[in-house]
Amino acid sequence: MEELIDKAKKGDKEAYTLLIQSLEKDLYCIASVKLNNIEDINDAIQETMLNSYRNIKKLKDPKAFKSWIIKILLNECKKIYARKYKIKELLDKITIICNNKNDDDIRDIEGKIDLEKAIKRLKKEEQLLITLYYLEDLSYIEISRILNINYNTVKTKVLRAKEKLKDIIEKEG
Amino acid sequence: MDKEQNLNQNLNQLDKQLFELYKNKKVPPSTHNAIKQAFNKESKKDIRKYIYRFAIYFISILIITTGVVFAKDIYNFISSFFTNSTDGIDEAINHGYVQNIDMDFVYDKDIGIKVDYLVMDEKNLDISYVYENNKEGKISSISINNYNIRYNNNNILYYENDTNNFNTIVKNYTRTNGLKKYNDNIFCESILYSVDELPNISNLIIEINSVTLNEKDVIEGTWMFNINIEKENIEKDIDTYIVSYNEYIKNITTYLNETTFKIEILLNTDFDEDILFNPDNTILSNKDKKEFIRNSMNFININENGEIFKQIILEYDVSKFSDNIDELKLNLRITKDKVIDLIMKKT
Repeated sequence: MEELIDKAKKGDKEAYTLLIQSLEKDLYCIASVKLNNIEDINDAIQETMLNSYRNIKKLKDPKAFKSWIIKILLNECKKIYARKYKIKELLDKITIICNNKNDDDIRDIEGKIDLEKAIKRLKKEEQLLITLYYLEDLSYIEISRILNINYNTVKTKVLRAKEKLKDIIEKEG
Repeated sequence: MDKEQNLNQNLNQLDKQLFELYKNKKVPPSTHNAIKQAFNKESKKDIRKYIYRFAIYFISILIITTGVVFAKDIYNFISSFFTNSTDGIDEAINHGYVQNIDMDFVYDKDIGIKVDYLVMDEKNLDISYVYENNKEGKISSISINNYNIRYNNNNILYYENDTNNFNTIVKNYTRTNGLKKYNDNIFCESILYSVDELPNISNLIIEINSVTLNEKDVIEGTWMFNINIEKENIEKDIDTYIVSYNEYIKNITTYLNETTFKIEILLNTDFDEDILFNPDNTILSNKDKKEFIRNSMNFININENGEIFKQIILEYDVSKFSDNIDELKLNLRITKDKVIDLIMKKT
């Protein structure tokens, strides 16, 4: 990774593309927590890639690259969310009220508990913490740096999110 | 196996499932291609996205204005939806202004209640409660009904039935994100207490005397919590703004703290409360024209030298940690024909 970062700093776009591709699962999973459709997720990832490339020379410690790019991604997701989703959510809520729809069932077609859908039942912040922690490589310290949250707070919140998840699965099981 | 061992074993199994879930996650081909094509992407904005965005705004305005009765219902719903914004509190939490409360449920009459976290600044105290129903039968909602909050040596912060005028500090409060349901038994609610001046609080005693189930059944009981406030939460400061002159403004005061931006306005002219009630007539925005959600609006009577004035109190979902807020603009429509524009610069 460090070699690719060095090349990118010298203007090698191909190296940077390879670098981002090595993190594509992480970026996709994190953006999926914040945004609901694939077009917006891809936009957020593209903007993240372009913005981070423009500022790659400012990155002093290559080891911090992953945390750094996740922060940029979260900001991009926030911009897209503010632009599109607040109004859309409002309209969706109106539709739900008018049609008396129930919340989405978290069971899949066979009636089994879908872990992924159970995660969606958590608060957005909890979903994000679960995603960052279980995507491997991200420690509590790294998560605390990315989200600017106290280390102990991260630890508490991840544990709490897990307990909630367990409750959701047990109650619906 | 005791309860704790069982819990730990279940969490370990969940750990394995979660690691496995993310390990096996597949990235859609479109995302892989998006990364591949990023540097070839056109720099000019996608016109389609803007058309979509304006279409959404147009549709929402159409829904609000179509039909008298239906529009009013939708309007009230929209108003309450917007007051449930918690960006300011989220920003404060993300900057460490949160105290997580590590406690077990307190049970009485088969209802468990605990405090989850609290966020405190100069003017607001946000307390998040979790409720657990162990009664038989399905519960659609549960919330605290009658309660008191005291601070430091029994001083009253909030007293539900203040008929004896105990000099409650909290003048008004608003519920922030409303009641949330996790499952049939667990509910969560965050209540924002808004005060004129929050004292230095080192300890809180919350006493809940009754809860309401299904919005109708009142259950009397006693649930008490004694919470010591962490030192970091005690020292707070607020930012203020200098406001441009306007002939209709008698007095205006601003308070920006960790969770909210509060504006208190005394006008020297008549105004229409119904018009001001509409958030579209009280827009707060920054230099980039980003508009901030209005969390609440209240009117209180102020006695000045024997004359009663109605003070307008607006609260917006802005945190002192928010970006680009050195200069803000407040656009107020106070009657059908009168509009006030105020520029506010941070001191």
